Amino acid sequence: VPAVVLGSALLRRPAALGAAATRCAPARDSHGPPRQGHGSSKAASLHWTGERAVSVLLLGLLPAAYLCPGPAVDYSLAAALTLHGHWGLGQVITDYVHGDTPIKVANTGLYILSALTFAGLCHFNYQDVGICKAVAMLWSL
Amino acid sequence: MGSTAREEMSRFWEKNSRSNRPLSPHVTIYKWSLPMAMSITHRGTGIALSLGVSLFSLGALLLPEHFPHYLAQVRALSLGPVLIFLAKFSLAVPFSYHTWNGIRHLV
Repeated sequence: VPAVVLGSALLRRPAALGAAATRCAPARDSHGPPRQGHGSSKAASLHWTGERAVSVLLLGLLPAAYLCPGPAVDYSLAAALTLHGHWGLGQVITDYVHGDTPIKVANTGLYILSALTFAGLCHFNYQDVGICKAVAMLWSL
Repeated sequence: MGSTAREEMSRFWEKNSRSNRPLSPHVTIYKWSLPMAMSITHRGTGIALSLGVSLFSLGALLLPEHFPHYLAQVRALSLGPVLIFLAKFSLAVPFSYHTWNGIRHLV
């Protein structure tokens, strides 16, 4: 009987590790109940919710851009588009990039790209015709 | 009690990397399913759209002229309607796919 109990306990450990192995990168977005006595952070779960919120916001901006084009929608689009893309590409990095240094390098590069993208879109909104007008003009071609 | 999930996972990965185990063939041998294909297409369109937006944005920062100028240049090329349609289509397809599939993910 003790051997059976020990056997099943030994089987359960590799299974837990196996479940962890289905994620390509360790740590990061692990959910699951917070353990007693260890610092539990809601960061990952809040990030997930934030991603859905921005997605919904962006979705809502699409009809807004069509029906009420203007600077308000332009800048909101710039922000929502950049953030949605930044978080999306972040998930891609988390899935495919492994190793501490490559991860850090990739994420830094992503931050730079997103910052430039947001700056460029805002600049376009300010100095040029703006996103809504640009799409309308492009489609009138 | 014992270790956190983070500690367990990093211990697993240290041992795994040390063992230099070959990667399971996965994508090359598994039969493709619709959910798999739709998921990777969602990711692919997402990446493409994101890079497109970034490229547009960098252009806005670096190119000397304003948008209407370049649009007029394209118009001056007098491209056939079929070509213009194809260009619009190739922009609209990944955008629409990603949007509608995105809604599917949200609900």
